Amino acid sequence: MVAHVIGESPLLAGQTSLIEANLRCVRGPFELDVELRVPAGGVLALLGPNGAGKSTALQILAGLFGSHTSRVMVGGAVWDDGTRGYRRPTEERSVGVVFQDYLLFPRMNVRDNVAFGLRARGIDKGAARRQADEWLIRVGLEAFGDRRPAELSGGQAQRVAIARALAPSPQLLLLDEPLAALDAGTRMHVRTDLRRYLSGFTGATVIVTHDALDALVLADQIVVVEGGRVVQQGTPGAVARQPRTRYVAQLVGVNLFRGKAFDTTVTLDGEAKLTTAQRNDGDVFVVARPRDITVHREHPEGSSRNVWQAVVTNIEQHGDLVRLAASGPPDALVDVTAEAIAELDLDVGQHVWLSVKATALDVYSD
Amino acid sequence: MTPVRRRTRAPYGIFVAALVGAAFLVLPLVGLLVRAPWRSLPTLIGESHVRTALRLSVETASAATVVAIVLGVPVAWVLGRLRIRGRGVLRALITLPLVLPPVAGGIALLLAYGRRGVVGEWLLKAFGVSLPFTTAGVIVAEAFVAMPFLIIAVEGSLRGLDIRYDQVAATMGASRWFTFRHVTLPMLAPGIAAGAVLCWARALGEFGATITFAGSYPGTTQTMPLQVYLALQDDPNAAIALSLVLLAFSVVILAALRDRWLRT
Repeated sequence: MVAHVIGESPLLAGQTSLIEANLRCVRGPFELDVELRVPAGGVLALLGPNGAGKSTALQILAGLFGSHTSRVMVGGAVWDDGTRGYRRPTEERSVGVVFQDYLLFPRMNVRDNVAFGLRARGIDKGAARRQADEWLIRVGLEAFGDRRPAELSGGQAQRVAIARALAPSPQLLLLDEPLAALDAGTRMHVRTDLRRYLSGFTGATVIVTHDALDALVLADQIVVVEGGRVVQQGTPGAVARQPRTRYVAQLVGVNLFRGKAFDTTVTLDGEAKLTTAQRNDGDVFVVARPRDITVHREHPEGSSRNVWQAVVTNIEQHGDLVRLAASGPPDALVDVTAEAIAELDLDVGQHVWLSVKATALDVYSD
Repeated sequence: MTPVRRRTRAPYGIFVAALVGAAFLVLPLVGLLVRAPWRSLPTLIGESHVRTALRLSVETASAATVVAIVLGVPVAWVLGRLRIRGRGVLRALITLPLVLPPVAGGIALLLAYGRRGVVGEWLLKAFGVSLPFTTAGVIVAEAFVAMPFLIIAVEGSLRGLDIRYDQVAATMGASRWFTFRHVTLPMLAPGIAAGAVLCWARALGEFGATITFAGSYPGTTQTMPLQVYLALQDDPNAAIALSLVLLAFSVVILAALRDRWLRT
């Protein structure tokens, strides 16, 4: 069934996978069974709630967790083969890991942290440091080579961790909740930067996250895991449009608008305009959570800077949450309560007004 | 709980007992300072046999500390990192010299490394090496007594280290030895330093095991504590002066460790 879904995905059709993994393990009552395929240059997000088995999957890929039943193939080479009881030791895998709390070596300066993987693989000190400096330029931290990790901000430490993981040019890059340790303010900028670094990486990337935005913004393929199983997978757009479970609906179901920003106005592809709180310039995408959008029968009077007319095209119930699909422009998903449906007498084909506050919109430069 | 700074009000009895306790610890030091023959101090310390004993003490304590670091850090690593069976028993055995009366330790050393000892007999036959009543014997006795201090200190900081740093290193292709040298050891350095200072201080003051295993020969095995004891018999002023020197060393050591222990 999993393979079937992958076959359907237009993104992966005809592409050979750099990573093919069947990750299985049993830990007490918990059972993990996840299948992943990532092409070279591809970014896959393993999205799921805490305890879904995402981190275990990542540890198996890195060789940090012994699983006797997994099978991992990278670039045609066997990394794990449960049937033969084979596990390639972590230090012999061409892998880079960015841990959630980065784990920069505290007694080494930033340059030596980035040079570590090269030094460990036998490159001499001078050459390793020169390459590390090049990486620091790439992540915009060339002035920080002599600093200690403790002197960095969270966002800077994360960039160093990425440079350190990428410097030995691994085949597989693993990111464990890469943005979770950052405060909300810096998270958005770091996410945008991270997207840029990943687009330049030619290996395969697997991101483990419980944050739907990370997955939507960073990945070109999302695998949603709940309770150790894959419950849905596909492109970010497909997963966001048609969430299959309540969890996916709540987390992944967001409105993703592309457009051109000028100051606080974003002109969307369909010519509609949105007003944002932050000033921006150039190509961006704007994220609006369905719960932040309000439905009205009449043109609303209020503080919302964005008000537009739409037609309800679909009504779907996920538990106690009702999701409307409305056709604009712009089209939008809106979460309302069942009471609101009854009170507003909403039905498919109904004309409504939608509104969202400028402060509720997140903007990412593309 | 409350943002207001709370002040603990000591019961009267505890306060008095605490005063008596503190005085009990401090008064002997005051006595040493009050009765010290300050005027003749420079001459006493300048005497050649005092200088010899002082140098011997510093040298043997330093050598014992080096031995303790070289042998003790791997022991601490095994105790702190490996999940082996009987680790608790191993730790108990290794730290036994900590609580064993040093004289008994000296006897044990004689039975192990003496000329007729379990290992000593073989050492003598195979290499012609005899440890008792030599400077090397002093180093062995001091290391035996002081190494557990270092092991415990290093194991403690090892347990405080996040094992995931080792994992990070492994994901970047580092072998276990490379990881130990470039990641673990630098992070352990403060713990090793503190353990070494403690170990050195214990070795410097060692008396019981040293006199039992190495005797008291001026120039080769007579360290400061032995000389203080001997001096007390016929020249009490010299004993006081030598004790002052040891006290000065202790104060310096305490100052070196202040960041670790005196910070509250």
